[in-house]
Amino acid sequence: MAKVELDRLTVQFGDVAAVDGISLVLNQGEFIVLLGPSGCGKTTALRSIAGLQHASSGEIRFDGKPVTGLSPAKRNVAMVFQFVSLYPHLTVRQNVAFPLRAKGVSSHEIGKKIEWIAKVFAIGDILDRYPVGLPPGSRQKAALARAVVRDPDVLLLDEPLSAVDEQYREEMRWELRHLQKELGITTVHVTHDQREAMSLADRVVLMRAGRIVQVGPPAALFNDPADRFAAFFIGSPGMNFIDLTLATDGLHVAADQTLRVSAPNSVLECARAAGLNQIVLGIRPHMVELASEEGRGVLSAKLLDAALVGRDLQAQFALAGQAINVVLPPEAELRDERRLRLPPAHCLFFAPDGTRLGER
Amino acid sequence: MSIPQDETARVKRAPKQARTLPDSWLCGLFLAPSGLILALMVFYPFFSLIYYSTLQFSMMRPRIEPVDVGLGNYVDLLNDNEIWQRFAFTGKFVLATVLIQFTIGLAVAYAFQRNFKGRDFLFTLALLPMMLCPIVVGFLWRYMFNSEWGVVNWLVSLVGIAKIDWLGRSENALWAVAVADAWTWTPFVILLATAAFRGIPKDIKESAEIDGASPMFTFFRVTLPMSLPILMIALLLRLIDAFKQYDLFLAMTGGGPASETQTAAFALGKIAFGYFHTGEASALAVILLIVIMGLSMIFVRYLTRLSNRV
Amino acid sequence: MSQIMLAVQGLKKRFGSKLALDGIDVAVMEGEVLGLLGPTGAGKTTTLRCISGLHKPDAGKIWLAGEEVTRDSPMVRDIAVVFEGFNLLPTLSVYDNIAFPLRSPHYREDETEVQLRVMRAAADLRIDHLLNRRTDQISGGEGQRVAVARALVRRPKLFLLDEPLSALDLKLREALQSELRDMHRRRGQTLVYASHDFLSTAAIASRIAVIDMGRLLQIGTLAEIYADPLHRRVGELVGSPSMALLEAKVRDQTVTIDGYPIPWRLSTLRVAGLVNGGSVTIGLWPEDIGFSTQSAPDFASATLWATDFRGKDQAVEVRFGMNRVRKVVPTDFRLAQGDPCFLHLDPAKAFVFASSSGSRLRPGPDRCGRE
Repeated sequence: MAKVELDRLTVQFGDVAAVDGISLVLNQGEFIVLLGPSGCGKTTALRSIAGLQHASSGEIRFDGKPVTGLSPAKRNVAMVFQFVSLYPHLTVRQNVAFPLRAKGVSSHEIGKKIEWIAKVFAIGDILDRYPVGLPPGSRQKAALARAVVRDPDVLLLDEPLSAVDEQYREEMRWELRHLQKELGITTVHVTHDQREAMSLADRVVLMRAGRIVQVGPPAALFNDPADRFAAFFIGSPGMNFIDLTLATDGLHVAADQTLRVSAPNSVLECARAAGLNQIVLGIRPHMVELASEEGRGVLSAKLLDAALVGRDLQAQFALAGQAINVVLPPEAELRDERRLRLPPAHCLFFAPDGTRLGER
Repeated sequence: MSIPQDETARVKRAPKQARTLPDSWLCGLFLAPSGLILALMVFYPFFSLIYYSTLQFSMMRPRIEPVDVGLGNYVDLLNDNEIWQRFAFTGKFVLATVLIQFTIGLAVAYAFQRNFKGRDFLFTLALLPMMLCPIVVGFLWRYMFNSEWGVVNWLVSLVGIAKIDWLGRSENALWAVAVADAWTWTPFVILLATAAFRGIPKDIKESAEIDGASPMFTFFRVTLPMSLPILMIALLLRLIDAFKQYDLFLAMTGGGPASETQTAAFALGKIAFGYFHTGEASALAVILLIVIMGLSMIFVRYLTRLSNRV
Repeated sequence: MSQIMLAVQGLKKRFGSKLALDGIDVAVMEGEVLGLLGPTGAGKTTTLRCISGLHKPDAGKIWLAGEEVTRDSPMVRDIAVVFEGFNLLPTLSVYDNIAFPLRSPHYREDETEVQLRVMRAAADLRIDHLLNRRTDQISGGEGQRVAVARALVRRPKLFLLDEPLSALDLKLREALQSELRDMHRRRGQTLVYASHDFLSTAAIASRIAVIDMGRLLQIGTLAEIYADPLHRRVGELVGSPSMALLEAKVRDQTVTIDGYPIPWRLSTLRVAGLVNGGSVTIGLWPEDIGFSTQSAPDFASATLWATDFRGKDQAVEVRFGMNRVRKVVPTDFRLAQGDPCFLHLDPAKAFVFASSSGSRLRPGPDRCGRE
């Protein structure tokens, strides 16, 4: 297990910086997820840590020692790929033994290690089978076993669940999380699936266009996103965004000026100081409340539809011509016209360029 | 809310059934032309061959009635020691040429995995020998192997060894022709091996790299085993071709001295178009066919087992 | 009074040695969205293909708006389908793709009508700005909308969607789900939506038909399914997290759940036909399972096996014996893997399933039904 540091890591492809000077410290035993849309540089960053991608500038250190120039074999990292992670011409047992044989470990030692890893990953029953006949879940478990058997300093996972059928993905997520905590190996996992990131990560690194947008525990990204992109990207159903105009008497819904919204003073000051007269309000669907009477901050909206999804009631309202998603407890009473409240404490405010307004 | 009446009314109702030819008929129609050609050019000659092998006659003397000898031709051939010698020589030749082709072929394909300057040019160059006519290749190497003024002996003399009679002695001729054959067809092996190596997913190669495997270890434990299906096909094709080798022997040794460097195919040619013993030749052809088919079936069986795994 | 738009009776289909559909009976009301929920290979695609006419069923009948269409070729049935791969015609523009069904020999329309319909469909799906592009110049999400527009332009009686969203990333999926719901609201289109994903099916469907191994296990609203699941597979496929299925043994009038120290009296389960010494599967919806970080009476101790942060809440997995339970708890609970925790399983909320067949064991005839 090692502490991994990225120090102003940059990877250029021609004149495009796929990774643009990112700095990050990953603590020992941590499960870090690099999250972002395709093309954000997360895979390039991962491959740089592996040594499969040459860094244009910056440094990578394991436990304080620079590894930037070293070949993958010398870095003591292990990697699980998205599609083919197992050698198809070898049995699972031979696969798991492969890295040990490559290093010249004795057969006896190999046997003991395989026994141990088979127990941890519960793959004892598939040891003598070939990868081709195995379900994708078992295959990725075997791939993980192979990665972990040689005690790597860092475990790198390149979207290992993307190729797995959706219905098995949830199972695998639970297993992966459990195993990582059991084994305690510093793990870097790349995905574009924010659900996966929130499930697995101790900390999430949200990336976009080669830069880091936000780093923090999943709860921090969920409740306190750094900008509009982060707020939009994380969470499903996604955050509702409402355009507001800032007048001298406060905030109004842009599409219907009669509707007024309140915001903390810090936000209003911030907006006025920046000379903005248009800002965006963001609120998560489960934070929208049904209000029983008129009052400050209560907006009337028309019910479009509602469905029981799992144990939540997911409803859609039309507020000043815009569809707002709301998640309510199942016993909520819905009538055609309803009053919604957007509690200021749970609202986020953004400038038109996406930056957060007010304190975080 | 229901669908507006006027819109559905506009949609015309079409007849209930649409008739088309059954699929199997269509298949038959498409296959018919090829089937016809196959029948005329392959099946007819093939069954004629089998028929002729049961007769004793000569195509050059159609007036003399063919004698039905049943399996007599086969018995005679299999009792003939000379024929067995021919098969032995063929076997040795096949092994020799295939050995050279694959050792060099795989080594070159291995070297060509890494992209170096001029690789593509060298690759194209390496493929040239395949494009030459076998007879031409035969004569080319005949001159090169000439014991008096051939290039090979000159090179050999540089190292201090005395001139070797390459084509006059059957032990040497075996290797000389094998070299010529290998020279022509190693490019084929290089081509297929390169294709096989390139077909290995990048992830696998990167996996091996990260696992700490040296390039040699990766080559023997990953690249080669995963390329086995394609390499087996290459091997099978080369073996079959080697069995049939005729032109090179014709050009380089003429089958001599005496009949020492006659392969089975060469002997077949002699019997069929030298002595015109058509019946006997047909029988020999059938025997040769059975040998090659037997070999192929072993390969195919092994191949199917392999491909079920990878 | 809405009519039955689609009725399927006794549908059977075999492919070689595999029985893909084993007697499917379902009715879809006009204007309803029926969700067809089941794992991969359950028979969803086969069912849709039979309904649309692409497969001829071995047995069974299909009625569309009262008329039997079982023997009709797909061209003639007034059904539109969107499959997983979209199947857009690569050589035609978006406009021509959408117009295609209207120009086929069976539905020949004049061009002014075609244009009207295409523009309307494109406006509905918000792709009017793409009409002149070629299909290889548009993104995945846009392609999905074109496929939907193409299916809708004929205003078919029935619209089948086969996992239409699985190829898309999450945000696109949400956007399209929203549009499908919107479109259904405005047009009153009858839809059958097949998927293996519970959440996206529940978001759009008014009733859910659970299918597995070629059989329909249950049809009903989500509330009905929660109140009365008929098969353990229904419990496995419905809910997020889905039902906890616990192995238990019956011995001398008590039922003991493996790993759970508190045995239940057989009488509390109000089920007949349990064999002494046999095993049984107990199903509990996660919401009916008591969870606590502190010890409490009637709560058994267990260890937290893993956690799963979901944003507005978190899920935890707890293992005991050979059983496991997943439950949603508020995010305020500060929980870590390995922490001790406590569970309460309530027999009054339990559903009993036969161990071998998985079907639900109902209260015996001399007991009253569950509340």
